[in-house]
Amino acid sequence: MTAPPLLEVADLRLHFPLGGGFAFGRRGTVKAVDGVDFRLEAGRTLGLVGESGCGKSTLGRAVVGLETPTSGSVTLGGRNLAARSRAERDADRRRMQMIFQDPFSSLNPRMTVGQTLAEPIRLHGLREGPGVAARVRELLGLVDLPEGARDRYPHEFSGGQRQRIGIARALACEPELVVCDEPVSALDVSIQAQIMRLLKRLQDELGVAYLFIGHELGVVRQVSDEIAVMYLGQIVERGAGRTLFREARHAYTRALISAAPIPDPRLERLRRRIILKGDPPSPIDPPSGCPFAGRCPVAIPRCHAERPPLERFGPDHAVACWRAGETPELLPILAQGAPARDGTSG
Amino acid sequence: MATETAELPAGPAVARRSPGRIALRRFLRHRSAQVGLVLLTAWVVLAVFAPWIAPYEPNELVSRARQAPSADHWLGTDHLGRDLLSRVIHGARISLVLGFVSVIFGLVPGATLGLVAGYAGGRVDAVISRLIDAMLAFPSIILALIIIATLGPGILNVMIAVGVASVPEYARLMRGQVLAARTQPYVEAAWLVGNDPARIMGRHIFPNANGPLIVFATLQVGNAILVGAGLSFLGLGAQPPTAEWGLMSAEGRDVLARAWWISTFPGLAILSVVVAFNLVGDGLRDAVDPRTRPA
Amino acid sequence: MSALLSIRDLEVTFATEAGPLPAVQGVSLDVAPGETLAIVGESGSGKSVTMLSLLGLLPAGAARARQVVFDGQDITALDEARLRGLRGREIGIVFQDPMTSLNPVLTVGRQLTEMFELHQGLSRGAARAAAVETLSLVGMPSPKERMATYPHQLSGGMRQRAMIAIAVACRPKLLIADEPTTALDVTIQAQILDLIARIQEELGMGVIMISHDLGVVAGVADRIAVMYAGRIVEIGPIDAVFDAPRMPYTSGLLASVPRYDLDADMPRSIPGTPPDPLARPSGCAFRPRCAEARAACAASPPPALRPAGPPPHEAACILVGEERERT
Repeated sequence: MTAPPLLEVADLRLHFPLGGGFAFGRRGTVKAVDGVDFRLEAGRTLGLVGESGCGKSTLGRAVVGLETPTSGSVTLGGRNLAARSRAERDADRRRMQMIFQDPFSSLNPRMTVGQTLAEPIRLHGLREGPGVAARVRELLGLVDLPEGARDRYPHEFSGGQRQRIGIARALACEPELVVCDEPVSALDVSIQAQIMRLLKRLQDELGVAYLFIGHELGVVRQVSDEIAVMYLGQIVERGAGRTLFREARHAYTRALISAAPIPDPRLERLRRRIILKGDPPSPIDPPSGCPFAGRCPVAIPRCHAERPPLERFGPDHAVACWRAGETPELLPILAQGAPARDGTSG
Repeated sequence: MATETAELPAGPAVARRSPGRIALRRFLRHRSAQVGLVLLTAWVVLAVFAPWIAPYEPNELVSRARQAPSADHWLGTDHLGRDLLSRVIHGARISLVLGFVSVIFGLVPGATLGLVAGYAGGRVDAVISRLIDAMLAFPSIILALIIIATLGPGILNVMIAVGVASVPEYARLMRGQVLAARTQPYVEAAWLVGNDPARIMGRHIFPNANGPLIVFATLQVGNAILVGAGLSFLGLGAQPPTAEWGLMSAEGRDVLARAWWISTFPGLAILSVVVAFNLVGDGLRDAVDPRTRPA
Repeated sequence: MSALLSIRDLEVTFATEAGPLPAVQGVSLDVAPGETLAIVGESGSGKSVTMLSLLGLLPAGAARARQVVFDGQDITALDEARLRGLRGREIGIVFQDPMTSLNPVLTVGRQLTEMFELHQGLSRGAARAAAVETLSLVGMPSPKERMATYPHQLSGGMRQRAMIAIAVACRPKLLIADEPTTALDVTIQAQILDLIARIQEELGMGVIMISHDLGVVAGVADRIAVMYAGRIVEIGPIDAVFDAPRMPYTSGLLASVPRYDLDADMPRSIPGTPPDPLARPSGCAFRPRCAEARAACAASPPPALRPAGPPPHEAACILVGEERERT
């Protein structure tokens, strides 16, 4: 038997009852995450991409334990987190950390950078005595912040610098997995690239695995070994990071790609947008068939009736779409006669 | 990849400026806070050094009763012939102590309840919140009167009564602050890096949620002094011959037309202390939350 | 053809506790009728402030310009009332967050009919008919019923449509769109960009699209102006600027956008961070982050851009001058 993957998520569901108060009764269920399976190997990056409300952030938060799943399992290094004692869970908390989207609210404004970084080291006894200060210096170096940052407060730093501090805090725990929840979405373009390169370098040096949550296709594409596309709480397509956006077969993925702008005016003029009608349906009591069927331009009756399973479609590629075989012809992304760019030019 | 090294904000002037220090500087520059602080300092000095500053003992019979203010007795004498100035100065001790102690009696249990309710949530929160709501249904002065009626009159009982009556206010305020703070990403991060609930509450939530509490407590000191004096005025607090401002005002009540000074000067003393605390509280509020500051 | 809008030497300075903050310095630009000019820059570059100043939406005294001519009329001299008339009637505005710019206590219909009653003096009934027509112009499904809805009852995309409806209600000659799709999901963004392009064609409006997203800009703009630290550092036809950027900041920005359509490596990054507007470096503000910087860059600000004439491709960088000498 092969070794278990670092992280395995099996049939995970997070359902929230709506309406709350006893006087009003239940008004439905939000199925934020509705039956998700994936595995992630040590030192690799799985990108989760989707639009707001698709459940990608909730999924990430459930993996680290900030949300409690309704059912299903999260298994870290072969041990099911839900099935273990509280003390064991607390010990395992260290092994999974998180980087947050908003660099301004993710740091305690009353603690210096040094205090923020030293806290996890002391709490877990990762270093003793003077070793703590040395480790803090080392962490600052890892994220390219000068030593002088130690005695300063978060409000003295720019967004990009704060994001580096947040990364250093996660690394202070010496985790095996870091959930990155839209870590560059709040940053300016020129700073985004700095943080993306930093995350990549840290992965190469430390062997940490990332669950990278994002909504920008370019960002997710660049950092991910594998990408999963989510829609209404389900993974609708999964594939290798290098090829998924070129070979996408789910109608939703193709619509997403066609809508995502490319910073190249000549290319933009050749593209054909698949303009989806309406807004994404809410995850409150979602439809029983394919979650995308209501907005899909090529849906057939079967799509409304039956939920398509996530099935393999070639090596490293899985699609949950009844029409996966026909979508490239049904939903072309480039206009007729446009040269297909596959990226060998760059 | 040295080229990516982030530069620190330049200049030695910004070194080590904690959010607390920045708020303190803003507070000290605040005009009305400065006035309040000067007034308050004066009263504290008078209270602390009362035996040396006051010309007479507070209960010493120094002259005929009901003498109008004069060069010998600046504020006149009371209905028994005691020096009013000396009694007002000594009265500052009781009022200030009463203000601070009753705030502590309210603040400590109130903030703790609010912190626990806000952080624990669920059933704990439901129980505490119902309790707070029930207490808030009574006007706090009625609540204080009920407590005094149970414990009996006396200055210590006044402090307990005024303090306990304000517990629900503190608890409600703290709970709201905690509810806002607990969903902040840095609190979630604190949990993820391994803090236990006590440390999360004490080190990550409370320091970021206590601003409005400090402001409210400061304003509440003035309020407690006022309520305490009111209870003494009604005969439920300090008992004669204590030099307490509320009681002193009551003692002059019957002779107000002939000897206005006996009630008036203790009343003015109460007014000035309460105003001082309100000015300081306003200044603190603007310092803690700069958004409310006029541009 | 004369420009629809022509700005010369715009300066915007805010008074702050720490001293005067120069948000915009010496900005000049032209917009032709029917054309889309994109203004691109990172946060704090002054791209939004430039347009707000034009509309008189800044604190009094903050903005100063040598000349601002809109549709043949110098608007620097206009009083607040005349400016208000211009806003809404001749110049439509769309902001990033429709929730804060729509009035939450008025129905969508009321906010629209108000535009017609206020600016065109239509009667109640005529204004209502015009409002329904405008809602269908912006692709609002069942426009008649939507007249009675409040902004909070609409989804983000529908709210932005309502905002656009109000902006174009009076058929303005110029539409200023300040990050109109930044708060929206990418499939909704595509709908909205599509809509703006369609209305532009229908009404022949000039459009100024303020954005931080080079991808969005590449798809919609005829010309692009790149702002950095309060100045326009490069301006030109969109293809020319994307194909051959002349200012190192522009090329750095283009190279730092991650591409999902190419097998390129990780995006390059620009080192450092934009300067504090209260302490900008001497000479060229980009100098500390620029790989091509030399001594002369510190000495004086880069040459000013020539705004007039046929749309040229210009950059405020001494490299451009050197390039010219070489060829």
